This record gives sequence, structure tokens and C-alpha cells, in this order.
Amino acid sequence: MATETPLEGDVGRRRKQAVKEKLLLRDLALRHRLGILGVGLLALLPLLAQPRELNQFTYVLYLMMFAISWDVVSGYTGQLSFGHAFFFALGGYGTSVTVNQHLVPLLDGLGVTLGPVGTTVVILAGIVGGTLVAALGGVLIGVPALRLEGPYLSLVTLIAPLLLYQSFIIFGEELPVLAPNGLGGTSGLLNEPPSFVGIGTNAAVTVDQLWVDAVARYYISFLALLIVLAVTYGVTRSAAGSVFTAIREDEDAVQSVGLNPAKFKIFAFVLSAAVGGFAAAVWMHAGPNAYPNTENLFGPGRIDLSINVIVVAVIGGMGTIVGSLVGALFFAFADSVIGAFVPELKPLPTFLLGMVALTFLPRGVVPEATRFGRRLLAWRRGEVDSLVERDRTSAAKRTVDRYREEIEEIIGGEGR
Amino acid sequence: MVLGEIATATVTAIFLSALYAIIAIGFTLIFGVGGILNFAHGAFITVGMFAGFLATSDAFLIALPIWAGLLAGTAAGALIGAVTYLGIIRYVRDRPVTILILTFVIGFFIIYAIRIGARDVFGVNDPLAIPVPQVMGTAFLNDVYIFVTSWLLIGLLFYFVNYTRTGRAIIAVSQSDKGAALVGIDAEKINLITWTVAGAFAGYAGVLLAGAFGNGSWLMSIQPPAPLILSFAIVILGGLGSIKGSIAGAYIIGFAETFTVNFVPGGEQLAGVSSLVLLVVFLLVKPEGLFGRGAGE
Repeated sequence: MATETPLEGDVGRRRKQAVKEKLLLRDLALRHRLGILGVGLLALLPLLAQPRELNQFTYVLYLMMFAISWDVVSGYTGQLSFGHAFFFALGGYGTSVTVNQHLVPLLDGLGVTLGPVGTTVVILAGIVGGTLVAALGGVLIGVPALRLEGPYLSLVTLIAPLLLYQSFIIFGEELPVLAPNGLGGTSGLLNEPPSFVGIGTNAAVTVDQLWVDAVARYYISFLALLIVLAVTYGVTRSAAGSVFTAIREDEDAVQSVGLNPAKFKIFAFVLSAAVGGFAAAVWMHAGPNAYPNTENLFGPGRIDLSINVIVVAVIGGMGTIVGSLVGALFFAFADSVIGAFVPELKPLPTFLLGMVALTFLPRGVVPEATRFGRRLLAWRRGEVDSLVERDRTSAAKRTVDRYREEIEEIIGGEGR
Repeated sequence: MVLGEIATATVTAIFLSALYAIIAIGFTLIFGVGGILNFAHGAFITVGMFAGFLATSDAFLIALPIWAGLLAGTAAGALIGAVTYLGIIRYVRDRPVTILILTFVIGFFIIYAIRIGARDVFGVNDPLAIPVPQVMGTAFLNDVYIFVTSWLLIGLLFYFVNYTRTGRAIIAVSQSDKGAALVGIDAEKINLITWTVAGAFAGYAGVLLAGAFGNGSWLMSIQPPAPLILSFAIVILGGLGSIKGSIAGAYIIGFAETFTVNFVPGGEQLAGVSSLVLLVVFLLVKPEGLFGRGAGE
């Protein structure tokens, strides 16, 4: 048995066994239990909050999803995207246009009146449409990403939302076939897409109380977050996730073991785009302030949402998925504290927070906390004597290491 | 008649390109020496524009003439370049991914600070239209002024880089900082000088750009003609880190843009977009640029 290679024996059975073992709650590491506890607390939040606060917090859920979307491609594969709002806008506009300019007129033309179920189906179809449009956008960005690296790719991703913004203006009145009523220019689409649950008539389920509306919106958004979390967590913790990380570290190494980095890069981009587009699409039907306009989907300065997403992911820890959740909480906390005291300074303090995190805590809160937690546990078991990590390597080893690094730098031939 | 139109377009293109060249040079310098693609470049340009506005408006006691505005813009650009390097970039120089994100965030931090400053402190009604006067009375003379100073500054920069000790030290550091260190060059100091000079160019360009286009805006770095993206386009087109290449790139982009706007049907809507498209195409087809990254002159 001991000599069995991974490809010998009953692979299917062992794979099932491994998955089962992974899913056993009692064997979970402490940090995973804490994570589950955190998600559970998020689910209970509506018990505590007022409707208005809850609406603010619902937005944070979307921020989390957006940051996860960024993290999948930029945190894992290291392909930095500076314009992730491109995908959000595609998703948000995608669903709004699909529902309001295609499905509803079509069904009206057929003389169908939509009940609650019908509207829900139409909305779901719209979300699927928005996600697909965003995924197509992911292909559009992912293919150039194969030829470009580092800052050049970041530049293309920065240009993409700007071009999209321009095209919203150019096709403001009409985009033939795709959007018969146009994309609305700078003010966005004035026709709000129907909500799952809402107070007005433009919803699948009409409610008459503010708090019911807020709670329903919260849980629909929370469900979307769970879906996003499950998908991205599953992918990044699978073998594909390891390949993503390997691409970030060394693309040649990935090629040398016979894996095609191009395939994985496109996959990462499409996954990221689909997740971002899905989140934005759900937002349009279930989120607070669900207006499909440029201010929501690009940010008031056309690019702020893209930056905020980066700041959130960086604070939480790039390449962790979970970091995005924690980062969004930090971000929202900072944002609301600032909003209470010096609202006119927005968004400077949150950008500053991102800059400080990048300079002094480049690995992010979650990885640092994990490291500290491990240290704490080891200390309790008596394996280390102090909580603060000390550099225990000898002076000679440090010197040798430094020289080796220098030599590798010189003979590496990588250029800069 | 067509000939006449082409001639007019050519003249416009030459003037526009001269402006673009100034915009891109600071960006090239920083890349050539430190290997850093500075996403905060657009913000430096905006800072220059804003300093020019402050000097020429009556925000402080008296409204100074535009000459003082140019000076103020250049100085403010140099200052912000130096501060960015000394305050932040210096500490993270060996972490390329961090630097990339940092310059990006710094850039937008600065332009948001300008927006808040313009709106809340100096009472500008519309931070998207901050008035900055032209240097010369008429548009034509203004263009001529930009053209002449553009080439003058480029000439001075060439002289500085190729014939002064500091300039040669800059080349040395750009070729190899280890080699430069061996012959006693303090790379730290050279980097600081580069960032300062680059900032000064950016600030100067900011005032000219705002003047030539009627007014400045806190979002000018990404609004057409989007100097941030423009400088990327120019520098990538010309080859990274080569000053000569950047000048060539500036003229190619300037001509491409003017001719698209003038001769392609519906071209007005494409102003500012055509260079982006050109850039994306170029990135995909010939990413190493026209002149490539040879000596970092």
C-alpha cells in the first residue's frame, strides 16, 4: 500500500474518501471553525440591525463578492486587474438590459402577464444573462492577458472600464439588437429592473413594511454571497487553485510540469468575471440602491469601485478569498466611522488605509492573524517561549542567504 | 481643398504631439531609471494643473499671471514627485506587485485630495472644470509656445542626461544599480532626482494641458485625452525607457489621433479613444515597442 502512486488502485473511491474527510466538521482546523462561526454570525445580523443599517450592511456583502472576484484572478494568479468594475458593469447592465429590454417586452408582446413566479423566473434569467455577458468580458480581457504581463496587463484592464464607459455614452440611445432602448449614457438606465422583493409594484413579491423588505434583501444577497463563496472556495482550494498560485510565482515552472498556463489564466479570468458579474446582477435585483447606473457600477469617479475592491482585498489578504470578507468588514467599518465624523474627506481615509496596509502589512490581515494564531497555539502547548517571533537563524546563515540571493539575482537573467 | 485640410491637420497634429511629448517624458524617466511604471503619473499632472490654477486664481490674495502659474505647477509637480518617492516608494522598491498597486492607489488618493481641496477649501464650483488660462493670448500662439518649450525642454533633458555628471549617473543606475554602486554612485539620490525631474515635467505639462484644453479637471488623468493612459501608450509605443522612443511615440499618437478625429466619419466621438485602441493593438502585436529597451538614455 505504501508504494501506491496517486494513479494506482481505486482512484474514485479514494477521491470520495478524501472529500468526506475534508468535510468532517470535527476535524476542521480552528481557523476554519472560526470562519464558519463568522459566516453564521453574518447570517444572524438582521436580528440586531435597524432596517437602514441593514441596508448599508447589505452593500458590504456586495463589496465582499466584488473583492472575492478580484482576488480570484489578481490575488491567486498575480494578474493584477485595475479595472474590475468592467465586469461588474457588464453584469449589472447585462441583467437590466436582458430583463427590461428583451424579456419583458417579449412577454408583453405575447400577452403574458407575469405573476410572482413568472417575474422571479424572468429575474433569474436576467441574472444568468448578466453573468454570461460578464464571463464573455472575462474572455475578452483574458485573451490579451496571455500575451501581456505585469503592468501592461494592468494597464489594459484599467482602460477596459473607461472604454466601456465611453461606449455607454456612444450607445446611449440605441445599441442595435443588443440593447434596443440604449444604455442610457452617463445617467444610467432609468428603468429599474424588477426586484425579487420590494415595496413598490416592480417586484416579484410585494411587501408593505420597510423591515421585511430590508431583511429579505439581506438574505437574498447573503445567499448570493454563499454561492460565490462556495464556488470560489471550491476552485481555489482544488488543484486548479494550486496552479493559479504557481502561475503567480513562476509561469515557466508551471509549463515545465506540462500544464498550460494560458488555459488556467483564461479560466481564472472567466471565473472572476462571472463571479463579479453575478454579484452585480444580483445587486440589481436584490441590493440596496439597485439602480443600474455608472455611479453604482463604476463608482462616482468612474474608477473608485475598482480601487475600493483592490483596497478591500489587500487589507484582508490577497490570494485567500476569506480575506476579502474580513477586508470588506474593515473597509466598511472605516468608511462608516469616517462618514460619521468627516464625511467630506471620503474616500481619502480608506485609500490611506489601503496604502498603509500595502506598505506595512503586505500579506493582509487574515494571513497575519492565522500566523499569529498558530504561534499562540504553539505557545500554549509550550513549543515556543514567546509570542513574538524572533529571527533564530544564525548570523552566518543569514549572510550566506544574502549572498545566495544576490548571486541568483545576478545570474537569474530575468532582467527587471 | 483636401490638401488644405491635410495641411491644417498636420499642423494641429504637430502641436498636439509636442504637448504629448512633455506629458510622457516624466513617465519614461521613472521607468528608465527605477523600472517602475508609475500609475501615479496622471496625478502628478493633475497636481501641476491645480497649482497653476491656485497661482492664477484669486484664491491667495492676488491672481498672478500665467507665467507664475507655470512656475508653480512645475514646482508643485517636482515636490509631489519627490515626496512620493521619499515618503513611500523608497520603502517598497523591491516588491514589484506592491509598487504597482501602491502607485495606482497613491495616484487616485492624490486626485481625490485635489477634488476635495478644490470643492471644499477653494470653493471651485465644478471640480470637473477648473479654470486654467492659456499661456499666450491666442490659441495659435499658445500652440507655438508649447511646441517651442517642448523641444527646448527635450533638448535640455538630453543635454542633462548625456553631458552632465548627474545625468550620466542616471544612465548608469538605469543600466545596472549594482555597477553604479561599485563606482560610487548613490542610487538613492539618483532615484530621488529622477522622481523630482519627472514630477517637474508632469507638473509643467499639467498646466499646459489644462490651458490648451480650456480647463483642468480633477479627473483629467483618465478623461480624454487621459494623460495617464496617453503616457503609457506613448511610452509603450516608443519602447520602454527610451527618451527618443517616447518622443517618436508622442508624435505617432498625436498624428493618429488628429487624423482620426478629422478624417474618419464620426471621428469626434473617437477623440481620446483612438489612442487607446491603438495602444491595445500595439500591446498585442508588438509589446516591446519601436525602439525597445536598450540603453536607458
